[in-house]
Amino acid sequence: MRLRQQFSLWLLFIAVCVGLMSVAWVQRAHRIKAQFDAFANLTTPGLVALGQIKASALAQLQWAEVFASAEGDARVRREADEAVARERARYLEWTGVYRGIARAPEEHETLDTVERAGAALSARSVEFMAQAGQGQDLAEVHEELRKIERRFARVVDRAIGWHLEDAQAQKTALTQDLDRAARLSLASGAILALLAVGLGVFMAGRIARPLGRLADDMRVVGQGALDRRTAVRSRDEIGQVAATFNRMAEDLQQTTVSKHYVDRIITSMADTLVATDLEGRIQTVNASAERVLGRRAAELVNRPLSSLFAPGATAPSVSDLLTQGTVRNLETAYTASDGRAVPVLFSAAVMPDAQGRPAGVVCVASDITERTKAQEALRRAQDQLAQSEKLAALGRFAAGVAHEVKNPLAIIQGGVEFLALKVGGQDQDLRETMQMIEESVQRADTIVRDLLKFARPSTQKREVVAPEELVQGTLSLLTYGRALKTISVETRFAQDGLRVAVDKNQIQQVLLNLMMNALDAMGEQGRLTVSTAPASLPGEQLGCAIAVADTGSGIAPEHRDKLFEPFFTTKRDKKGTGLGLSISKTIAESHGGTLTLESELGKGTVVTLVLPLQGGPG
Amino acid sequence: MKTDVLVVDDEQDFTFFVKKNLEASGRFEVSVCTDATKAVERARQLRPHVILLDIMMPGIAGEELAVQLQAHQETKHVPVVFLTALVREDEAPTGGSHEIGGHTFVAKPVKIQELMRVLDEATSKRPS
Repeated sequence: MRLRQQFSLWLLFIAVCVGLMSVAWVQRAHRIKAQFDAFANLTTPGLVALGQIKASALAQLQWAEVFASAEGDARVRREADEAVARERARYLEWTGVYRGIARAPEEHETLDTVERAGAALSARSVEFMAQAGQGQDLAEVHEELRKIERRFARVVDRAIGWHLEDAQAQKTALTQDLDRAARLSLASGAILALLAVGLGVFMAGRIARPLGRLADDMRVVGQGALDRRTAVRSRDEIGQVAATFNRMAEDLQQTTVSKHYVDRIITSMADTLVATDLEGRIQTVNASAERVLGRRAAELVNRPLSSLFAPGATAPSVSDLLTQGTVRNLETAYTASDGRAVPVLFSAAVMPDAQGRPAGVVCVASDITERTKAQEALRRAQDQLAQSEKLAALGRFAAGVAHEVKNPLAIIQGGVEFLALKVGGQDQDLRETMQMIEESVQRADTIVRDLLKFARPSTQKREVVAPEELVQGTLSLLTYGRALKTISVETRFAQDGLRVAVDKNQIQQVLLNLMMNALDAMGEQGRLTVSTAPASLPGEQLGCAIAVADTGSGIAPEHRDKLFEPFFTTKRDKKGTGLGLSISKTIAESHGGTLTLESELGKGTVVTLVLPLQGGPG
Repeated sequence: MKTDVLVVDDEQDFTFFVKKNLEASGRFEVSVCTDATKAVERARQLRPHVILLDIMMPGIAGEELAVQLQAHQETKHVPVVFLTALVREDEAPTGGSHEIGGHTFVAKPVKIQELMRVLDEATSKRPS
């Protein structure tokens, strides 16, 4: 039942009680008033009448005595006679009055007695007066009058006493009634007080206590214990409030739980997540973003989205995103706090607010550093494979060419020798011609042989060696094979105990080729410097660099690009086939290394061979 | 006594000059076979002191011919010198020779002096 109805019922009940008590009080008051009236009406006039009767009777007697005593004084006798008559009339009047108001039989009895005594008194008075005129002994008269007077007084006093007793009884009854009325009032007051206390207890029980419990539960929920529900159950307004509160707590719990759930999802995401407002200022950043960018969320919040992107990387603007709606799998790069560019696969979408209006942009980006590395490795592997396939095809082609060229060369060689047998010797011109033909055969043969070497990378027999050993071995070949003339040789070796796994013959062939080129570039004067040093290779691989530097003529810029192309040569004196650097580069690459060249006209050239360190891949 | 040489090579012009140049020295008697498929038959008939065998020939490879020659009693002990237009990975200098697995290889184009030296060397190892 509703509290209002309950209150109304209680108040109605209390009002009915008060009304009933009021009626009882009014009735009791009426009864007391009636009793009081009866008391006043009955007792007082009786007593007054009796008083008058007594007084008039006694006065009558006294005036009679006066009459008797005034012997010979006619005036006094006349006055006394008149007074007796007056008092007698008063006596008769009041006995009449008393008779008029007497109701109880005792009253009538009393009246009779009084009248009798009065009549006797009056009669004696008259008698006395008559006798007094005749000169009788007054003393006796007086004595008799005294007796009569005393008897009358006793009768009247008895009557008065009776009336007084009656009045006393009436008074006692009235007092008892008044006491009862007072007790009734006290009792009803106490009942009302009890009802009021009951109302208070009811209020406490129905309102204050559940409200207090509800307030406690609310406080607990407010402090974060979202699974707390109030146990207040009733069908009144407090029950409704409690039920509403429980529903709200449920909603709050669900909302909060789902918010925590979403928060955990965002935090656990492997991909970076960045949310911006409409102006492109960063509002939210997840843990992955913090990790990839190397910055705390607090550093990033309110910075523009564009600040995340690496310099030169594609940076979609928020205004473009808002017009396009979404961007998917854009390959770009974030910039980390250490300045490193982190390649990412970037996707973004417009985030609507509750009304569906654009509120910002949500950007998700995957760190594809590993993938990019893997792609680079794959591309390198594919390049190498393609290179190998190209080389294999070239090898087959070169072999065919070699076969087809060398057989005619062999025939020419045989033919020249046959001619020499037949006609040679005497003719100088003929001898020189045949000499030239033979030299040309040799040159053609050398070219074909180099071509085969370039085109057919042979099986490598790798062994672990120190780079210094390779350099020293090659230098000794150079010293034995060709006079260094006035060229000074300098070596600088890194003291790192570097080791490379290489085909010693092939690498020495490369180094010999580089040193020969250096010597050719310097001519008579100069310094050849061969040094080793730690170096790095593409793909973060560690390597060892062997640099061959000369103080020669240098290489013209327009020639530098073509240096590694087959058959490109600047050695016009027929010494070179144009295959040396090509073969060297092929060998370097087949070892997983690189061969690079730096040159400055007039100052010299540095060719650097970098080989992967032993233990590394490739 | 002259050294009997059987030259097996499909290059007719080359065999012509080899025969002329070798025989000009007066120390060699040269027979020529330009058809590789008939080489074994010719060798069994001629029983030369040494066979000069081209490796790349249409129909049959020089190495295989050498194996077939080994199978016949008549030619079993005849030394074989291979002629090749291709250069092996270990590289012989032009016109020079080297040995692989007991056989001598001569790279084309070869100078006649070198060829004669190789043939002499091959026949000197011939078991008598």
